[in-house]
Amino acid sequence: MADITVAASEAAFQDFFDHVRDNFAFAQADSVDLGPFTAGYDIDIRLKDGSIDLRGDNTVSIKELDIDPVKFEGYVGIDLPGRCFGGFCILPTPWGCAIRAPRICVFDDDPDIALTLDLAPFLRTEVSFIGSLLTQYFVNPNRPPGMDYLTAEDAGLENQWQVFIDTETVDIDLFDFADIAGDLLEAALDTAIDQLLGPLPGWAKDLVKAIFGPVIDLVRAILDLPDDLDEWLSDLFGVSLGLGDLVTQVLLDYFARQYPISVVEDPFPILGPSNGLIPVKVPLRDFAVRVTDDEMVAEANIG
Amino acid sequence: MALTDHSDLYGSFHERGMNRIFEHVRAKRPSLFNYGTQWVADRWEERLCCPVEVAPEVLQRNNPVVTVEGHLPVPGTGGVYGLNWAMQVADVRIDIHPGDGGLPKELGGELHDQQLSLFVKICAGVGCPGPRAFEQFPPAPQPPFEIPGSEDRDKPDRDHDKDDLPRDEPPALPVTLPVEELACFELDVYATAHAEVRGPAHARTVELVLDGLEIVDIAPEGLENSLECYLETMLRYVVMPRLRILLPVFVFDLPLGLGSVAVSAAPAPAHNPALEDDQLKVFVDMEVTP
Repeated sequence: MADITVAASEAAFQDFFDHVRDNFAFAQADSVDLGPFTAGYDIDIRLKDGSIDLRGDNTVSIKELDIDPVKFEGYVGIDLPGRCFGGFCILPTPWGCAIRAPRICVFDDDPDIALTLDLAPFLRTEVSFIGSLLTQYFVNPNRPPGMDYLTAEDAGLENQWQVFIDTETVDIDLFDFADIAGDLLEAALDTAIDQLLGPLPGWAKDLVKAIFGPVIDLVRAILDLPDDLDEWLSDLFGVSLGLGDLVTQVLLDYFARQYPISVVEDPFPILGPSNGLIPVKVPLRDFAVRVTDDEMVAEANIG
Repeated sequence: MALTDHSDLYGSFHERGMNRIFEHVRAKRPSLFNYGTQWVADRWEERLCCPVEVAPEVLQRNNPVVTVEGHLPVPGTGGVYGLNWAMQVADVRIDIHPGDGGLPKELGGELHDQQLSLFVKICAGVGCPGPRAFEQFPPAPQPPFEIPGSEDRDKPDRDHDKDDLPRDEPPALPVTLPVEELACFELDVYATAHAEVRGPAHARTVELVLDGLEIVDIAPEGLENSLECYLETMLRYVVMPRLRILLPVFVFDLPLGLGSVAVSAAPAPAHNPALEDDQLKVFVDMEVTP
């Protein structure tokens, strides 16, 4: 029998899980400037539904936890090189040009095209995972050999008992960001080019498109985009902004093994320092956490 | 049967762990357990009545081993003379039902259900000055004897005599009479107690209630009874009230600003806290709030 035993019921875990889920919020925005492009995102993610289950095989299961994006927007700003056409002389005379074709300049603004892509409808996805609780003793690697525990505490180099969720299965159904964003971008560009050329008379729009080709090809040509727009977007958002990894990383930060879900300092303080007196700390031995069908139990001995 | 059948959370503390914690506190905060005069504190290794186990870090960090108190005054000397003394709580042991044996017969010999016992070993001593100290530090000057019938005859001179007395002079510095060592004694004190929940529902407290107290092997019986009465009074008026725990709510903040957890005693178990199986068991319900 251990010196100290602490247990939490499955019902308590469900209450705690519900509370954490309902109060979870992750909001972040970032942008990158790539010359003629600016691109960025603005996201606000919440969680809903899902349940937690303690299992007799020493594992914890979280089922069908929904990622609920309140906001999940990507935006692209494109600064097209200015183009002017027309203005050539139709009727030259010895005294100069008597009649000139009208001169039309486009793409004067910066950015000329600003697109906001609402990706939230595409991020309705679920997370399920099964993990076991793992207890490890963490010896601070920065602590020199022979350093006593009080000096280590003064230097912030305490050793710790750490509890991890050792993930056995994770099922995160993330969407194909580049594919979706590519479709959205092509449609948005088509509309944006028409709006951009909106003030021009119809014949002038046709003229521009005739000169520069289809709208997407137009942008690709002007900006020297690769033919595979999906791949380019994937690189832009995935590599330059890291957005593709961001959602996964946020979830794994909560559920994955490299981040302890609980840390217990060793030796454990029971009386703090007072008027120059050292703290009273007791060593914890044999710290372990286990799961049954009914509860989670943590046990430790006093060294 | 699950530990949390009657509550959201459960905690238990085995008497073995509690006693280990007592040992750590005694070794790392010795000044809580050892009291005496400066003379005792100066060379505590030799002058305390019982040996003290002190953690090395206490000495490395120049923490005191003895809490220094004033000397034990000799009544009637106007605070001029006093004696060295020391008192130590040399051992503390808790025993939760079922008992490990050794409880004095005056306390029933064994623990009852939901009862604990506390054993405290007290080492104490007084520095008894020898003849040389008495010679070195004579009693303070006393007023001269008044001889009956001499009041009128010597009145003018008596006024003069009074001027020779140390009247209106600042009191002499207190002197702690020197000794070589303390005259030591040890007391083994046993107490039995149980836990009770008291008070109205919105402000219930868990209190330790003293059931009995016994000092082992002191004679004569009247002295033993008087000392026990004094200790028991001190426990009831000083120690026990400070051991009360307000039950309704403990609140712990969750990390990342996720709210807080309020815990309160679970009503279902028959005894909460329970003193059984050599453990203190606590059954707690939990409410998570934003």
